[in-house]
Amino acid sequence: MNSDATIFIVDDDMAVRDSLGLLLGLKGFRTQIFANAENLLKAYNPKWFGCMLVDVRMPGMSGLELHAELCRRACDLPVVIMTAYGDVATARIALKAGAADFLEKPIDDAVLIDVLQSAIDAHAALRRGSSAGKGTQHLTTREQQVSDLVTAGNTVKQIAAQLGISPRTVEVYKSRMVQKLRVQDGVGGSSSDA
Amino acid sequence: MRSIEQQSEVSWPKAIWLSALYVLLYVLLDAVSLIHALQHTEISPWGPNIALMIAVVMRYGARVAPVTILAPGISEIVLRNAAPLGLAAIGAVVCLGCTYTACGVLLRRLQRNYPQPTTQWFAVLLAVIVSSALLNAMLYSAVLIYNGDLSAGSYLTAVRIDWVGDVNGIIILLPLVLILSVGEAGKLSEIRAHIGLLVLQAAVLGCVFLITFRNAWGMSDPADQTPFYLLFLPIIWIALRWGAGVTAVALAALQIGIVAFVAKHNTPESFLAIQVLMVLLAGTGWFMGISESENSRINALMHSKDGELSSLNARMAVSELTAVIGHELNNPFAALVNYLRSASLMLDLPNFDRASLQSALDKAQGEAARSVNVVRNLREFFRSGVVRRQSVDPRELAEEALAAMQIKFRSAGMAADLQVEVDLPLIAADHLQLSMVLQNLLANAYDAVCGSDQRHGRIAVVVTRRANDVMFSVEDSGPGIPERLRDQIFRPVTSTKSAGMGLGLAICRSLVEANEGRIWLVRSDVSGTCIAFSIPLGTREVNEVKA
Repeated sequence: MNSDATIFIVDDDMAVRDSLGLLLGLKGFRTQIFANAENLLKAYNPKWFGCMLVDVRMPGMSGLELHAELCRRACDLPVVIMTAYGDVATARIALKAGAADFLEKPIDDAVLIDVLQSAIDAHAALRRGSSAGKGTQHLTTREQQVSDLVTAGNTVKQIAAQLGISPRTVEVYKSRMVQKLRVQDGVGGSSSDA
Repeated sequence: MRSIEQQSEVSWPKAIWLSALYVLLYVLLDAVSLIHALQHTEISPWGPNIALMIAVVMRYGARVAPVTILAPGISEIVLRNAAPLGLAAIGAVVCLGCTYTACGVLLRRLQRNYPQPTTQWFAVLLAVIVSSALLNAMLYSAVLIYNGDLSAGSYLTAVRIDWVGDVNGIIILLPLVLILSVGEAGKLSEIRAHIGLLVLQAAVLGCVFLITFRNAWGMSDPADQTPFYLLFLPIIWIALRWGAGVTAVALAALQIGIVAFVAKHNTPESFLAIQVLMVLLAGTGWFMGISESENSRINALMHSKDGELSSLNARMAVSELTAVIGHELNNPFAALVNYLRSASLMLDLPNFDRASLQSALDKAQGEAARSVNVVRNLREFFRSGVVRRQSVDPRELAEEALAAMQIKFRSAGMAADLQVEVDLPLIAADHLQLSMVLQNLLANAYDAVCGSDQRHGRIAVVVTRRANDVMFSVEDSGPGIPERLRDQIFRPVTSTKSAGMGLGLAICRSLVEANEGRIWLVRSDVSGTCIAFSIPLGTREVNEVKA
């Protein structure tokens, strides 16, 4: 389906990037691995298609700085941020800056695939130039799951346990979900297509 | 006394038995109190029986009133052959019994406000006792004169003797009973530990007692003035060293010594004078002893608060650490999980490659070992402060720490510079711990700059080589540390921030010192703060010795 999609992995931890490459390769993704942000920028090509998987804490340029730099270069690749120790502040900065998602290590492979796949789909839609590009304003699979569980009356802790993520990440999803829904309300029917 | 006091729920037969015991004790004390009694009356300058009465009422309340009120009458009948319904017996019941029982009830009420003896409580106690004793002395002396036991001209003398005697008896024995019953038992272990000192004090008290009352042993002219005030010294010494409990015992021993050995050599007037001085001595001893007990209680309380605080400190430190530990552990865990998941995916492949499966499993094992090392390293540090030294590249260390904080800095519009001297040698240190120290210093710098509303705050990390060590300094352009806090910033719970516990620098110091380094404040003024730490160079020999 995404035969030409590539996951661009940036992590300073050798074992982490190596294992991610191996795992995603086995899952059928094409991967390209970088030890730091600078290396990726050197190799960067605007024609790249797929998704980036970037660690926050790296010597030199951080994941968030890399994201900002890519935005400056008008890169349309979705960026998924990973962190070894998730804190709400970092997650919020990342998501505010337009990151596609925020994941805490160790990452459950099902969640990872899910997130990457929807990011790739969004990118594909964007590249096709269709109105589906506005799909970023729609809830991601993950956000939809959180939204469903919230509606069902679950607490943040329960949701975290069910989805296998930390409560803080649930909070982040929740706030982003609310933000998106508000945006949709504000814009009214204009984004109700698709 | 003690055995009676420890019972608070008493059955009827026991009550009768205890009442009889009380009356017996009262009469006995009354009998021994008849020293230099005035004109064959009960009036003497020593009233230990009154102390017993008040103590019992204070302990058991108004329900013992029938016994305590009647006991003086019984004593009068037994000791002085008074007629059972005569004025002497009834006078004793009304004056002594009623006044002091009422005094006991009042003191019992007041005591509720003072669960522990305090100087304030002692002042209240003293005021109530002195006024009750005066009231009783005036009433009782009047009754005795009316009854013809005393000549009318000796009224004031009788009042004086009775007043002094009762106050003396009460003030010396009552606090002893009260303080022993609220339990200065905690002192017992301390007393056992310093028994030598206590013996010395007892010996000094004994010597001073012998010198003070030397004319009683015929060692000097009876007219020789007795330097009574010498006795204040050992009593004050004991009070300041041990508090109220031991002072109580010393005063009681002194009083018994006076009654047993000295009184018979005295004239009634000189004995009365001694009893007045004993009241003053006891009062002084009590005030000092009780205030010392108060102090040690407050100290003990503060120590326990210190304990709470340090356990809170420990918890805060742990929460600061979990962030670091989380980061150190989650990377190996992430890789481990990925390798294992990959391995199981490989098994599902129709034509799986044994070699790559083996390689994935080997790598998983490597990551597991890595996480074990992180945990072991931390555990060892926390267990004994032992650090796992390795050769650390100072540049790498500084770069990493700065990278970890860079997000915060840039998002706040701050510039963070790193200046590392070229060709720095390696240092022998625990990488994780030093990284925590640097991050902590950087976080402080960030807070300082952020708090000062500077548009373009500046933070600099400078790493330089010195003779035997490498110095890391972290400098910020914040408002500086308040002058009064500058010499104590490395102590726990010193903070210039409204949030947080002020633990950061204390932890930094212990981590740096665990790595045989030193941390200090280079400067702090309105233009900013600079804190530096140094870590010894890691020569090959050092590494071998420390490993």
